[in-house]
Amino acid sequence: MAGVEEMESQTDDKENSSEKIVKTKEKNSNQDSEKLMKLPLSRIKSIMKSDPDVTLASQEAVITIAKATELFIWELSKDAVHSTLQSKRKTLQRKDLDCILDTRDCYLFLEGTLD
Amino acid sequence: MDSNSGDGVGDGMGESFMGGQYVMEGGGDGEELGATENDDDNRGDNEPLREQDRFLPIANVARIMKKSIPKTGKIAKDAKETVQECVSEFISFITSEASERCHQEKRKTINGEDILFAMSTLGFDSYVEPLKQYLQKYRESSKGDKGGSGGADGTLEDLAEESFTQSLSTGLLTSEQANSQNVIYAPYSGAIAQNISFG
Repeated sequence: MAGVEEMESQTDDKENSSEKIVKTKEKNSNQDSEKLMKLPLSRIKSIMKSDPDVTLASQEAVITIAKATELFIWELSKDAVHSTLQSKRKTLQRKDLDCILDTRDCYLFLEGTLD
Repeated sequence: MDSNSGDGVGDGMGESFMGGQYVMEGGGDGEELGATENDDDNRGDNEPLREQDRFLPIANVARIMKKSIPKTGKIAKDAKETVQECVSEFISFITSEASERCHQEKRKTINGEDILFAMSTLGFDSYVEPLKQYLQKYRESSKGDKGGSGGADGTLEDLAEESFTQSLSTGLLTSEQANSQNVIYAPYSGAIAQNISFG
């Protein structure tokens, strides 16, 4: 009987430790996903400064644009995936992006980009 | 990795690492971010950006895209490339508008407010509120870093992406239905501990 009890307690320990591992992994993956979501600020800055009219941009400006860019990608993808699902496909394709471009006024600036 | 003069020497891979302006991306070094004036000095302003520098890295773009599609969904490579191009257009578009406002007000440096104003002018006003909140947290965390030790980060946690996208999506739904500028923003739900990581 003692042996059975030992086994049970070991099982409990294992469950506890596996819970901890799962939580740690989740936390790490959350942190990782947050870090991985960040876009390279130096590249964003390069793109901004490729405009000859742009002289200086504050750190805040670059960070704001970086965040706005994330939102833009998110929104663009979310819109495009509607078209994907309507066509009963699972893969988001370029034509889905083409489809949604005229659904919002704010996408008008992309008119020439997708030619 | 030795530093070089930034000349176009070496193979393609070597160039991308040896360009003088290529400071640690995502290295979390806050000091580098402020050096907007001194950065890119090695490269002449008249030189056009190289192909790989004109766009954001496709992996980063794809990662963000994946957040908004169903888990079982996939993204075609040409779609990722297209979004890459769109994103660069977006950055240029917003920056150009912000820069114009700056010039009008006889200022030389584009700041966060200019960007927000440009967003609003160009039809991205649904982004403004989430960005304002993000900026506020960023400013608060910057003050915290200056005042305290590096351990101050422990008191703040990452801004959840969901909280931004929630307020964004609510606004989107409203504008879709009513096709008007009246956007209702969902209030922040709960006390989400905040942290800005620039890593």
